[in-house]
Amino acid sequence: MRKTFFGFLFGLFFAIGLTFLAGENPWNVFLILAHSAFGSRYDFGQTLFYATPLIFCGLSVAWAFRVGLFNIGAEGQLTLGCLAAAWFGGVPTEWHRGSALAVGMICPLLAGGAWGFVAGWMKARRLAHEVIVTMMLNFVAAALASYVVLNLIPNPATQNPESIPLPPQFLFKHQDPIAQVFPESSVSFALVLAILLAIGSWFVFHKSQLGYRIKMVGMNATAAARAGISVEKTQMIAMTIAGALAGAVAWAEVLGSSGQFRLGFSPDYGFLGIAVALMAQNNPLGILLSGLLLGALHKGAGDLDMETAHITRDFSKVLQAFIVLSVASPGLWSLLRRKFKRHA
Amino acid sequence: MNPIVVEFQDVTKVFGNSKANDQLSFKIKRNSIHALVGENGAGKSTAMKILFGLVSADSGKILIDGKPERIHSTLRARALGLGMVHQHFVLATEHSALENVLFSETVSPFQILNRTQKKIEYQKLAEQYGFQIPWDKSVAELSVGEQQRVEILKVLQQKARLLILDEPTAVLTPQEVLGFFKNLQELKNQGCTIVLITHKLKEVLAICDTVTVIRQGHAVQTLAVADTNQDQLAEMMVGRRIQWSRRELNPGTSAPKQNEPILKIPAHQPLAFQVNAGEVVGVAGVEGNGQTELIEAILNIKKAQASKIHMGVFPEDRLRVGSVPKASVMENFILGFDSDPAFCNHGWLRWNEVKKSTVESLQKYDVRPVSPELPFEQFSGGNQQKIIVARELCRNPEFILAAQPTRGVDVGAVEFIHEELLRAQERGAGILLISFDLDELLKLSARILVLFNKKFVLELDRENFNELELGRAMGSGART
Ligand SMILES: Nc1ncnc2c1ncn2[C@@H]1O[C@H](COP(=O)(O)OP(=O)(O)OP(=O)(O)O)[C@@H](O)[C@H]1O
Ligand SMILES: [Mg+2]
Repeated sequence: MRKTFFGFLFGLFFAIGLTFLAGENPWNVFLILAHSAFGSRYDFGQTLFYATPLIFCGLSVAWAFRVGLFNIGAEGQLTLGCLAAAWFGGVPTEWHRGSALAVGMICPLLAGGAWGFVAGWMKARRLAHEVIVTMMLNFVAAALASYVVLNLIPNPATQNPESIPLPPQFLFKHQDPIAQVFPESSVSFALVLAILLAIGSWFVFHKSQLGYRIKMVGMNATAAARAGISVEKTQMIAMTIAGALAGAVAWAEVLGSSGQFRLGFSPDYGFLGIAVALMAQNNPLGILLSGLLLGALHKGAGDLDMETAHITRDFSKVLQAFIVLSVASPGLWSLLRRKFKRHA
Repeated sequence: MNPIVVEFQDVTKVFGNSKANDQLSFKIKRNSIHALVGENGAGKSTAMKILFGLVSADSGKILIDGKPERIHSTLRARALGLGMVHQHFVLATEHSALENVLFSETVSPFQILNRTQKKIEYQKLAEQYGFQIPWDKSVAELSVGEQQRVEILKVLQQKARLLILDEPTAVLTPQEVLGFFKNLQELKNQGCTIVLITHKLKEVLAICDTVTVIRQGHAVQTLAVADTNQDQLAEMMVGRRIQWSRRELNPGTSAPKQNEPILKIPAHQPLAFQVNAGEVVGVAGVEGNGQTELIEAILNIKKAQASKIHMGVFPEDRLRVGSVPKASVMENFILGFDSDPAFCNHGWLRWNEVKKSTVESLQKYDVRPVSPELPFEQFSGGNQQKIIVARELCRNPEFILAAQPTRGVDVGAVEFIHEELLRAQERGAGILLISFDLDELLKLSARILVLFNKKFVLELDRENFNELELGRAMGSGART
């Protein structure tokens, strides 16, 4: 825990120190960063808006990590989830509020879960390496999304690459207590759901038989199999849940804020989720914190672009890179070592 | 030359809140075979790991040839001429036996190793020790005995002048042990010093010159083997007189119910046999003559009819297939039993119950420390074995497959495990005991089957036990 904290500070200050080379005053940069992430209610709301998908994706990666798999595919799974939610914009039906919400919330989980299941199935049953499979599935999902959004449900009202907006019955908007606390900003009730899912994941990991089996399979699959635990089944269940959690990003992005699928909306939430999970060492409660931190960085770095002379938006990536490297290296190294040993 | 090769001076090592080594001091004479004995968890392996640079001591000094040395890494240890055979093998499981020995060569990174030539060299060395090693199989496919031989050869090849052997004989067959010891004597005559950790006091008396007894991390005494005996050593190890159990052992002669087979492999299969209720059946045989196949066959039965009879299985390779080393003892304790209603309520685990039951078993089997939350791998080797035995026996299985059930446990614990096995048998369990230790087989079995060349070649009832005949059958498959 202490190591993580110092790692975070080290990475943050090292990266900010680098701005000196670009001719900026690092202290100034730090102030802008802090101010734009937490300075006003609106700013904080935007930080939370970015944090929400990061928490979902962090949880997704953590579920896979615990069973010993590396889920590079959260990006594809969340794409499918958002697509499943946005699809109803193109369905010309009169919706009741209740059924619209239920359908809108469940379908993304099913779609993301299915995408995760495919990866889990290929790993468990066909012995394909999950990193390759999930990475390829990301490309398929991205291509599928552009096809569907541009050809099947394009928004007729604009020239933007986006889908038809969902009818208002689908959106959290007017009954959303979180949105009312942070007027103007895009944060939504999905944040509360993310926190609940994190707490739920913690309970499953530590208190349930499923969580126990996932951990045993992840730590020593041979011994787990000897003890009568089905390694294949456990891996497939964990990957399906991982996919569903990534799919839940649709709650934040589609139902909670934009109400449609805008191509390229994700600043690589799925990949950042790996960093979120690594920083928290797969602890779901830690993921709440690391998700918030990376969300703040993302929000803060966006404003650096406007408020400094030499720094662009991409600085957020530099920041993330240094922080993740310094925080996660021990975890990453031991993971890579394990993977290498198993596959060499 | 200084007659003392290694001297420990007040070496202390603390793990968490337990002292693995507590002001440990003793000396090892040059050109001798020096035994380290002590109960499970006494700190023998820790001391040797400190000497070999794998663990760093908290305080104290180590003198090599009379000079204080800071040994920070195994590289330094090897440069000083040390070599170590680890209790838990350090082998790259995906690589072949040959490659594992090659890895231990210290050559310049640019030198080309000639595999064929090296293989011939190693083969010669192996033959000298009477070891058979399948060079081209990957270590993952080797039996524990074969792995042990690779581990030993790896170190012999280095031509160290001080050899540290941490329980090298735990899974070797008696014949191999004999051959191995003869060669250790030979090494000693060539000027080598050897440190041998073992729980078999017979071995200490047979080949060692001096012995240091360690109790709770502290050296009780170092004495010449000639001046001591088994009882005295055992007493020093535990710190009090021990009562050897004189309970009349009665392994299944209480008329096993012949027509009540608990487990049976039918006659048309190559390894046909049957174990009846209330009977201990011993399997003797030189390793590699079908033990692996036998265990495999039984595990398949277990898989196929999971619910019908309750089986307890002690794996031969506890770290790889019997446990999850990085998980806590508690978690390991319910491995395979997590659906038991005592521990699981509608998919939620009752950790309080698990903990209680784990603590009970740890106490019953005298596992130390009694810390259910400590990772399994942080227990000493013998304590790990006791945990596995406790896990498998405490649920009253109807059939028990006990493969090397007393591997690496101390004398007291051997007695205890034997009694637990016989208690299970009295309760009516059928037990298949696979062991390289002929004494263990003779003591516990009602019947002994001899495996040779993947077939059972001899079957003897308890009245007809005859070591010579068993030995002949194990060696050549010959019946008399
Ligand atoms: N890495 C570790 N972390 C915490 N405790 C440890 C670790 N390694 C050993 N210990 C503890 O130190 C004590 C001594 O262990 P050690 O392995 O030296 O015993 P040993 O004499 O070799 O026993 P055995 O005969 O069972 O192999 C034990 O109580 C053990 O639990
Ligand atoms: Mg030991």
